[in-house]
Amino acid sequence: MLSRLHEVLRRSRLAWLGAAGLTAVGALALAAAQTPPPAPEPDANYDENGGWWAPGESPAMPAEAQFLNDAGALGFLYTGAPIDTRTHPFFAPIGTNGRACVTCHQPANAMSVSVATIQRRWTETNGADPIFAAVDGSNCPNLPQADPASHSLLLKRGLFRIALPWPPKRPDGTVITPEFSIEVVQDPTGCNTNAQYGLTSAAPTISVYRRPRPVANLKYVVGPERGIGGRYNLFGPKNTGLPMATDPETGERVTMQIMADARAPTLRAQARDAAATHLQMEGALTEAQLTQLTDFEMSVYAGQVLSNGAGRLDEPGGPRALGPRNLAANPNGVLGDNFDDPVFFDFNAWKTPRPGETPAQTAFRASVMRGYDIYFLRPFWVRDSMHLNTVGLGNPAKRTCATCHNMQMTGMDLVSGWVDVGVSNLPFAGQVLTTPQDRERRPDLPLFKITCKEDAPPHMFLGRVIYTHDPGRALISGRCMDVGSVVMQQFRGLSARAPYFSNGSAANLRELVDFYDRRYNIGLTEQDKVDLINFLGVL
Amino acid sequence: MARRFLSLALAALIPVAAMAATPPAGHVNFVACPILQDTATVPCWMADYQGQRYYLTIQTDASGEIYPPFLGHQALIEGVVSDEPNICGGKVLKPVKISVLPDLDPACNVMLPDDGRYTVPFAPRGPGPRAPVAELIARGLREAQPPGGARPPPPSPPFVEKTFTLYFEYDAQRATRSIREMQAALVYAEAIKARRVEIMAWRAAPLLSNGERPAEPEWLAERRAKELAAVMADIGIDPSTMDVRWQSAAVKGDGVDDWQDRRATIRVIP
Repeated sequence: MLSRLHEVLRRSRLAWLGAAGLTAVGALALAAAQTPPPAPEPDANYDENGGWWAPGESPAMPAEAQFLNDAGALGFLYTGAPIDTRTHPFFAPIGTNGRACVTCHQPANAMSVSVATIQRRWTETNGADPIFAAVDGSNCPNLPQADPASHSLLLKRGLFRIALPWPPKRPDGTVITPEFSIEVVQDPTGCNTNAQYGLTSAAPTISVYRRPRPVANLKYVVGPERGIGGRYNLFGPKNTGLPMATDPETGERVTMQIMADARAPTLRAQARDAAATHLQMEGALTEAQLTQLTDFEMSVYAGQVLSNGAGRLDEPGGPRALGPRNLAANPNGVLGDNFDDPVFFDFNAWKTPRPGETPAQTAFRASVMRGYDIYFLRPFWVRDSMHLNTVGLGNPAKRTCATCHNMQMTGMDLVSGWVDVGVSNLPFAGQVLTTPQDRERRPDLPLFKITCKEDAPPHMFLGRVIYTHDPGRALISGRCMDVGSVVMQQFRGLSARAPYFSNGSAANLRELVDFYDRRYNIGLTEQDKVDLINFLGVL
Repeated sequence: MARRFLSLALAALIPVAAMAATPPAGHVNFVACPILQDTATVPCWMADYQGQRYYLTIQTDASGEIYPPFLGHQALIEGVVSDEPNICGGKVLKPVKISVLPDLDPACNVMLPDDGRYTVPFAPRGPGPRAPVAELIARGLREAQPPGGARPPPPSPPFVEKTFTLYFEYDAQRATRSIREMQAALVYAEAIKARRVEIMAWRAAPLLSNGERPAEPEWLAERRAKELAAVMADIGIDPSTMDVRWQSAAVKGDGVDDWQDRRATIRVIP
């Protein structure tokens, strides 16, 4: 067993800290724990390059692991029943292109995949890794696949091609009459104007490019146990007057927060969609596979567990929100933009230096606490944001980051739905407001012109003619007011999975903070930005 | 401001009646750019009409009774002048209905800074929904649930015909503030195994204080009815039991509670 373990560690570069082999951690009784048990000490086996978990060559599922990243280390926790990853559908290459789910949802990258990991895979495999599959790992399948330029969006921004039918279709296959027309204004990948893959092809398709979302901490993401959804809570409360989607298998309303455009109502639906598209699987997932997938996905927790600046983040008596054990232990469905039950509780445990804490660690922890205060307390004018200002706040609204990023433990929005903060829509996603680096990158993305019908409810802050890099939810709903809106992502494991935003437009946390500072004219000082980055980095 | 609204309406080929009567004293209905007056806590929302500044609401959130307007848009204000003390320097309209008009108006962009003159009552937000609720109750952060939970008991025979009424903002296709009524209609229809569900929608032509009478688009009543029917079908009403109708002619208001003319009804028949 040990020789097998060493072999696995060497090959996968997995830092193995939990019980070995197929041991589960159900006995941890995490659900009942308010204060998690002491975490393991840092392990010398941390891999400096991060771990790559290859499909079909996988080790057994660890109960707990840590992976180094530039800011420290990510903690990974699996609370489910023992699984054999050699045959488990999340880890086995069940499609035709050699990929598995784990290809794009790597434990070392908080169950997403970072652009650094992608670039390394290109170098190590000369572009032969299945992650670069033509179907969506290249800018367009018609391009020469051996040329890295054909994979530029994946290699530079971590973006996979998402091909969606136009006009959109309902789950029953009937066509939705969209409230707008769409034109391709800029097509740097060539895919949207391609005769085979584009908007004028026999099967009209729009290609947008998006980041894979983390498959971790999902109890905070899906319902109905989260408190929203269910048979008698039918409407999305974002003041749209529209019902939430339904789980076709149970009839229950769902939270619509699984994907960027919420096109899959459940994890099972998402798995089917991903198997058919990303894995190019022939045939359908079996019931047993679907159960295996969803059981696994609901049992994975990921959060930063070690900070280069702050030290251990999950020490006994430490902040109640940090580390994967706390993610597993705390309840879901909690609204945190209030003083009674704040989003990430408090960091008071750090106000008194611990024995052995260095002055540098004390200073870094103080910076994190200042960053949390800015996030939670610093008001600014939230303006012209569809599905945010329109939910009863007024435009503008003097609120804080935590107003919208309000879900306890994740910083998502507890309220179902999607928002447009300007990541994809001009002018906020435009070149005028971006950094010099962005000016170089932005032309990589397609640009669409959306023209809303006169009798359609418009986008309240952009009107009836909108230029966007990604229409977002509108490609599913066909509604003008949804153009550019995407579902919020969780804040956890950020240090392990850059770049950020659905279109990868923030290469690092600094660019993310800069975007919000520009977008909402917050007036952050240089110290404020450092504090916010340090705060986000320990989550 | 009203002139701009009239021009906008004409451009959209919406019929506007000749100037005639005006609302009775105390009722003010007008179209204007909203004005944001900041304070040390949350901002006040104001609007000017004929030299008078009116107070509409403070900043709220999704749970607020009144949703604030939007800069970047004109708003239709329909209110009653209250004798309450001024708030943020404005005469208080109470009750007041605010309809954000859908088209952009970049001229609506006045933000007045906090100059220390105004203070408004503002309560920090309390705890939100949480599972398990029992924990909040134990900590005194939420009132104990009544026995059997908050959900009302199902209706018992004899079942009677019941009508649920939904109200719309001006020019709005969906009654976004009336989801409780839609949900209640569904629950009732299912409970009594409704034989028929009749949906009826109207459009309106409110009377403004300057005598103008803008009218919602001719197609709007039909759109409201069909959108509502689609939502009701989505949430569980059998479409074969639905009778969907609308009144194309605009209901002409008299300047008093004209917002009630922008409505739809769901009539649940045993």
